[in-house]
Amino acid sequence: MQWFTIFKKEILEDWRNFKWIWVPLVFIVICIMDPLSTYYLPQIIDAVGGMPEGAVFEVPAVQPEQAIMMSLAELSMFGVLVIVAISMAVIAGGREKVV
Amino acid sequence: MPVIEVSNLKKAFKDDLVVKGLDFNLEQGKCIALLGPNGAGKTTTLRMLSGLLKPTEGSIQFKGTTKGEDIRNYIGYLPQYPVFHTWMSGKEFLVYVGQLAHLSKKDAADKADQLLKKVAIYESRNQRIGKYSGGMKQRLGIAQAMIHSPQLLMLDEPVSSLDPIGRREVLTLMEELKKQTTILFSTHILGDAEEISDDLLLMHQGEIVEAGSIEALRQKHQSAKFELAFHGSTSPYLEKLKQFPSVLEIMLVKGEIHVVVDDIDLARKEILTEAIKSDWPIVKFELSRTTLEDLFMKVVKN
Repeated sequence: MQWFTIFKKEILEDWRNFKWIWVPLVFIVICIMDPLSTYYLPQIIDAVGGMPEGAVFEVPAVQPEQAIMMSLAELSMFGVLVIVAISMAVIAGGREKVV
Repeated sequence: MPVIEVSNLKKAFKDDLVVKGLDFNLEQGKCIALLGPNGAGKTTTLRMLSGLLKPTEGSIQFKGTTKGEDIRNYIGYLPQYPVFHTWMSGKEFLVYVGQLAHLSKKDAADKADQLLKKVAIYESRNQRIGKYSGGMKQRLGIAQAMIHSPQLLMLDEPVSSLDPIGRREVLTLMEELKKQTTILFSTHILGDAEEISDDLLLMHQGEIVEAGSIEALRQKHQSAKFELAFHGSTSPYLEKLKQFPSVLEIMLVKGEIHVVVDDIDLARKEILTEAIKSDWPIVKFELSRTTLEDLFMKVVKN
């Protein structure tokens, strides 16, 4: 049962570090960034300028299933990166603190 | 009845033999100091006794255990630099450690309260450990080592990193604890060892140089010595003093010459005669006894 004691301690530590708040936030941001930026691409390009006069730039509206695929693609990149970083911190901390 | 019997304990790191064959027994209910200068192998020895390091050679036998049995139930260990989870409170930490030592949650909480009172940090039990002072952390460390009521408590340099007030607190606490359990602690400060321990193991370069009760060692190494101080530079007199036949040894301590002699009367006569003849500007001539401090210094310097 001792793994459970340690597990509870880890959960409590994450709570005190506000990890339960900022990690979900980071994931939400990662998920919505890609569909959102695609959706607003025409406006962004307009605002930045740089398109020649009269050029027509058609961006198809993002379909729900496309949006989900975009989010998943981002997650498999940055989401994994975040998880790796967190696991590294947990292991390094555990090594240093011993118990 | 020995709590632990150690025979021919050796530890080598690569080719470097750090602990060169220790033989000793620790008696139940005693407070034993493992004394030695830095690098004597004290920490390595304690780490081997606590099972954190595997000895290269030799055996460690705990009372009531068979070979290869898990000894963690029998010992409590405080490392030299204990690290705590700073985000936990003192009480939470003790309960956590207690549960890791197979206590039930309730037992751990009861024991934690009891120990927090004993080490006098009960008032700060709900404060984060990050806010504790060095002395409080050290006392929490001792409480942590005691949580499962071990037979043998091993403390690695429990007072070395503390200020005078913290040291006093921890020494008082150890004085209290030695009534209940056997304590083995390492230190490089003779004063601490003399103050609270019954027995002394003096280590130097991986070997036990002297062992026994403080009283016995004091008796054994008590010889007469003269303390001389001179007006002006002392160095010219060192050579001359060395030539007297009754002089065994000469030490220079804080600008004074300490002369260990075998025959007090003869030595006094020789030194004083020479002093009058050569008109030495003596400002202090005092008979005293060698102390454990002298023994310690002698061992360390050789």
